[in-house]
Amino acid sequence: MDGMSILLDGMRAVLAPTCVAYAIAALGLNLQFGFAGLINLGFAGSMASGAYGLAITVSLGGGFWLGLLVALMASGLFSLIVALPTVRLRADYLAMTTIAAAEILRLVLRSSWAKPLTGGVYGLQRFADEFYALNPFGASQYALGFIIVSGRTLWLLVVSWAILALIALGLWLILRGPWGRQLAGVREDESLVTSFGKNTFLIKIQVMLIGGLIGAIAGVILAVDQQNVNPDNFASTITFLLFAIVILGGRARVFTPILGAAVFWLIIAMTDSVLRQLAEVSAASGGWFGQGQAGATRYILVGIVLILAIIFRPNGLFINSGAPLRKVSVKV
Amino acid sequence: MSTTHSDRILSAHSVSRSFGGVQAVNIDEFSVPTGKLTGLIGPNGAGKSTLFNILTGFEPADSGTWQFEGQDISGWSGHRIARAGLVRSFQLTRLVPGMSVLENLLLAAPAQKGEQLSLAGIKSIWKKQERSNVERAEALLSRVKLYEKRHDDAAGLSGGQRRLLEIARSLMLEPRLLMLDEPLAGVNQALRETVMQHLVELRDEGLTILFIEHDMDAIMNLSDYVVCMGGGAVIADGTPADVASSPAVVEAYLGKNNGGTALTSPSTPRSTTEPPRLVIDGITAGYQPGNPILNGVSAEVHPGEIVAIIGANGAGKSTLLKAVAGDVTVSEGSIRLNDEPIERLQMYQRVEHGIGYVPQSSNVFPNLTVLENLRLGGYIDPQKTDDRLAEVLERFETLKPMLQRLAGSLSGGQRQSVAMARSLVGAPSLLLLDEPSAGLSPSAQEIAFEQVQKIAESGIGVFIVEQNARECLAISDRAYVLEQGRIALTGTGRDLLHDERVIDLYLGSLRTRNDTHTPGQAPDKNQEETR
Repeated sequence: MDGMSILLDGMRAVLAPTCVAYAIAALGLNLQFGFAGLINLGFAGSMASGAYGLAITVSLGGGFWLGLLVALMASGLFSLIVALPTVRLRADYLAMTTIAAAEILRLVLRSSWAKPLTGGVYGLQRFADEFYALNPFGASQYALGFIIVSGRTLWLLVVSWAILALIALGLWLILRGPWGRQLAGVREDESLVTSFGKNTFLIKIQVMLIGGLIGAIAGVILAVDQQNVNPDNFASTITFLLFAIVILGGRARVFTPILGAAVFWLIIAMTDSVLRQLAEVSAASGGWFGQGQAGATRYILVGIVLILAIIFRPNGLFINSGAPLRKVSVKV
Repeated sequence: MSTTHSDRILSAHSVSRSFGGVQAVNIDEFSVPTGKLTGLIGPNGAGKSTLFNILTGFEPADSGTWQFEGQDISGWSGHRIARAGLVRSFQLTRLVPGMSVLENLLLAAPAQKGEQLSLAGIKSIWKKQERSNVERAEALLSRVKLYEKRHDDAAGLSGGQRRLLEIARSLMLEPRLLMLDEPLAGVNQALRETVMQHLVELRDEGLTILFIEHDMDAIMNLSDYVVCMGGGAVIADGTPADVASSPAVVEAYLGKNNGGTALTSPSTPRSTTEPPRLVIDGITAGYQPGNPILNGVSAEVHPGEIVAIIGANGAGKSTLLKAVAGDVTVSEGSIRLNDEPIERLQMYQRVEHGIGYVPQSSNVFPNLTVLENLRLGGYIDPQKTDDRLAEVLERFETLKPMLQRLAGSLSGGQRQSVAMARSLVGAPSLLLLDEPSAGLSPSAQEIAFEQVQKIAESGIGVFIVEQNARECLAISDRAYVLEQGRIALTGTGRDLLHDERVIDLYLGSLRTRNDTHTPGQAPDKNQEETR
C-alpha cells in the first residue's frame, strides 16, 4: 500500500471546490440545526433551488450575475414556502414536512413536463462560462503544495474560500450577540422564550431563510464547479451527509462545520483510496475484493467512523464534552 | 360589581376551555386585585394551570374575554401579552441549560436592539444597551444572592436557586403583573423563606403577583387575597381566612360530605382474614436517585378489599401506585403480590402476575374504538379474551352501545369506564386506580365509585388513589393517609371519614392558623387592610 498516495488523495479531496461547497452548506445547516434546533431535512431543496435558479436563468438567456440573484431569490422563496406553514410544528413534524418539500422539488425538477425549463433527468449544462471568463489564473496548472490543480479550479477555489470566509464571519457577527442568544433559547425551550415577549415564530423564519440562502450559495458552487445541474445531485442523501458533517465537527459553534467538512472529505477520500488499492491488490491475487465492493464499503466505513465519533466525542470532534453549549459571548 | 381596572389589574369574563369532553376551565368572573399578592388554590385538576395558560396566551380559550390594565388582551399571542407587562413563570423551573446564570437573565431583557436581525451584526449599535442590561441583571442577581454564581452554568443550580433565578429573570422584563405557577415547588426548606420574603418585598414595592400554590402555609403567610378553583370554576374568593372557612373549599378538596347516599362503607372490613394479596413492606421510591418521594411506606391490600390512598398534593399518592405498577423504581423495601416478590419485575411482567393499572390521565387510546381499546386489555391470554370481554361488558353495560365509537369521542366519565373495563379484561387479581373520579361530573363520579365497589365485590383487591377523599373513604374498607412520602394515618374508611385530622392534612395551616396567625414575614400595612 502506498501511504503517500492515500494522503494525497485525502488532501486533494479537502482542497476541491466540492469540499468548500459542503463546508458552506454545513454552515447554513448548523445555523438551523445546531444553533436554533430546527431539524430541516429538506436542506437539499435550498441547494437545488439555488443551483437551478442560476442554471435556468442562464439557459433562458439571462446573464450569470442575474442568475446568481435569481438563485438567491428562488431559495428564499423555497425557504419561506417550506417554513411559514411548518416551523410552528414540533421537531419531528418539521423534519417530515421539510424532507417532503425537498423531494417534491426534486421530482418536479426531473419531471418530463418541466423538461423544457429544467432539462428533466438530464439537467442543464454550461451556464457558468461568464464566471470562468473572469479567471485571472491563465496557466493550465498550479501547485498547491503537493496537489496540482487547474487554473480554472483554482479560480473557483479562491472565490469559494472567500465566500466561505465572508459567510463564517457574518455568522459570527450576528451569533455572538443577543440575536444568537435568542436562538439558543429557542432551541432549548421555545415557550420559555415566548414568555419573555419574544416572537419565536419570526426568529425561526429568519433562521430558515438565512440558512436556506447559505445553502443556495453552496448549491451554486457545486453547480459551477461541474458546469452541470442534475436533480439527482440534490437528493436527500446530501442533506444527511451535511448532518453527518455538522455532527462530526460539532453543533452550535460557528467554525466547527468547516473542520467537519474537511474531516468528512478526508475520511471519504482516504478510505476510498485504501479500498481502491486493496481492490488492485486483490485483482492481482484472485479478485476477492472488486472495485464494486470498494464503493459500497466506503460509506459503511464512514458510517462506522460517525458512530464511533458520536460515542466517543458526543459534542463533535472539535468540541470537548462538558463545554458550554453557547460559547459565543461578547464582552461589553 | 363596579370595579374599575385601576383596582383590578387583570379581569376575565366567561372564560372556558374543554378537552375531549372534560371542562378544564369554566369561569364566570375572575380578577386579580392591583398591588396585592393573590394566591390561587384548588385541588388537582381544578384548572389553575390551564387558566394561567389561557390568560397568558399559551393556550387558546374556547370562549371568553380578559383585560389587563383595562386593555382587552383576549386571544393575544403569548409574546405579545408578555410585552404588555403580564409575565408568567412555569410550574417546573425552566431555564436554558448550557448558558450562564447571567446570560439566562440577559435572554429575558425586553426590546433588545441586538435581537433584531438587521442590527445584530453591528455591535456598536447594541453594545450600550447590552452593557446596561448586564448591569441591571447583575443588580437583580445580587438581590437574590446569585451574583457569585453569575458565570456558572445555570443547569447547576439547586431547585431553590432556580426559583430565585426565575424571579430575578422575570424582573428583567419589568412586569406589572407577575403570574407564578407554584413558585415554591421543588424549593428546599431553607430557601422557601427566602423565596417568600422576595415575593412580599416585591409586593411592597408595588408589583402585583398572582401565584398558584399547594402549600397552605405559604398561602397563609403570603396572600392578601385568595381565589379557590374547583372543577374549572372559581368557587370562593376573599381573604385567606374567608376562603379557608368556606364549605365549598373544604368540599372541593375533600369531596362532598354526603352521609346518606347509596355509597355506604361496609360496616366491617371485608375478608381481612384471608392472606393479603398485596404486601408493600417499607419501600423507598422516587424518580431520581437520591431524591426519594416515598420513604419507608408499608401497606396491604386483601382480596375483595377497597383500600384508599389519600393525602395532599405531592404527598406521593400516585408515586405509590406507580411503584406497585412498576413505573417507578423501588430502591429499598419489597412488594409482594400473591406472596411473590415483584419489586424487581418490569411493568409488563407485573401485569402478567395479576396487576391491572389504570393511570390518571390519557388512559384510553383515543384513535381506537371502544371495542379495540377493550381487546387490548386481553393480550396476556388471547384465547380467553372473548369470554372475558363478554363478562366485563355484563358489568359495564353502558359501554355496549358504544363499542364501535372512537374512544376519543367519549366523555371523561365514559373514558374512565373504558379504562377500568380494559384493565379487567386482563383478569387482574389487584387493580390499581389513579384518581378514577378526576375531571368527572358529580353523577359520573358516583357511577365510577359504584363500579369500583362492584369490582371489589367480585374478589379483586382495589388500591385506589383519590382526590375526592370523602366519597372514596365512604366506599373504602381501609385507607392510608400519606403526608410527604410517609404514612401519617391509617384506619378504616369509616373512621377516617369523620376524622378531623384528615381535613387538617389537606387544609391544615389555613384552618388552624386562622386566628393565631401573626404576619411574621412582612411589614403589614396591606395585610391589616385585607384581614
